[in-house]
Amino acid sequence: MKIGSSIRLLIMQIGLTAFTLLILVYSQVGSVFATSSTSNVLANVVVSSVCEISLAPNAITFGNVAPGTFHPTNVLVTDSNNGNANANSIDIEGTNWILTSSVNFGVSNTTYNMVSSSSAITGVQLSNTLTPVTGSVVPAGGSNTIYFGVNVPVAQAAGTYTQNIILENSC
Amino acid sequence: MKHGSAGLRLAPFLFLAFSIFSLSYAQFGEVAGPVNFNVTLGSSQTLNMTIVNTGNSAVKFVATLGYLSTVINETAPNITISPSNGTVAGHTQETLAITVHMPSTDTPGTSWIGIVSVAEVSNSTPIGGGAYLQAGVAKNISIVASKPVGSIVPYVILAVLLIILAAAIWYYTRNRKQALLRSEKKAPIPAAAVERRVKRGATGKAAANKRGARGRRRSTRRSSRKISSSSSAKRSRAKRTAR
Repeated sequence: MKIGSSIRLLIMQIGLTAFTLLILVYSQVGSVFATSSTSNVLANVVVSSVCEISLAPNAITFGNVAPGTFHPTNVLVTDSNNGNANANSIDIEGTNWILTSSVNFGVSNTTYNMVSSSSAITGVQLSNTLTPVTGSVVPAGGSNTIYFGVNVPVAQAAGTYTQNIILENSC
Repeated sequence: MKHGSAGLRLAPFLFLAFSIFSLSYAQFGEVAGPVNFNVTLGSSQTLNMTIVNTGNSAVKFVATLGYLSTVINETAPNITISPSNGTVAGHTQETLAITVHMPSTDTPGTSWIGIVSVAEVSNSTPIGGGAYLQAGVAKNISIVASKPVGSIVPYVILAVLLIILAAAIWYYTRNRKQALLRSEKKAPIPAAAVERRVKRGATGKAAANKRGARGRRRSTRRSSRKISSSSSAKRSRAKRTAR
């Protein structure tokens, strides 16, 4: 009987110790959860780059040109890109030279070049299909130049002819 | 060919080429980045192109397909741009949807390159002569025809059918086995079979001698003894009960 009661006492003591430990652990964990904390979340957004175009001048005059003669490829047009992305190329196309619906001459009589030339023949002939101008990168915040000229066909009727030239920056 | 004084002498054929245009300095641009289409045969894909007007004045524009390469023996994909024209107010942007429809007859892997052109349209009309310059933005596009992905539905149906078939076979074989077991348990040993066994025990010795199988002979002997001993025991038990 005496041994039994001492065992019971031992068990009670062990139980009491375990309970105390449990309370202690719980209080510690609880204090961890109860503590308020602050953390920073870093947000970022990438705004896409843009390339732009601005032409100066936006009209070019070749003056008086006799039939069978040419204006050299030296009329300057500046293509500016005020965007923050490089324009990988300048694409170009044009229309026929029109006096009236029945009197006109071909778009290919207009020539262009990246450098000024004393001849129209050395320039590239303009076409009515959008074509990249070779080596015509327009850097972001920078500009590039194109020179234009015109050949007037032989025996072309006199008059004031007009043409549209489209210059486009691509990025 | 000469220019200058020679031309001036030919008065009737002179060109008066000058121009008067209103100058606008709107900043027209586009969001950078490639536009690459991978279009399944017989279907369409739409990608966007964004144009921006960073200037103060509104810009009228017209959007067209400026260029598309050609591939021999292949039908060119159909390209539409929406909207194809409009006005972008100052400091705003406009998103254009470029849709490519790939003909089903084209070969997978065929590729095209093209340029989508968005040109500024000026309100001014050339009064004089000369070349009028229009600014614009262009987007290079690439298009690749891809093979259509096979539907998963036939494979699912096939899998379900196989599962059903397997289940049916398993169920059939299982039932057959159970039926066999049941029939074996239920069927009583016929009396004729018992008699045959007893006879075999009696005549077994001779048969075993003939075959010369020693082991078989022993077992036959043992079984005959068992049968005879059991029958004598039964007889004695019957006598005892009669008494």
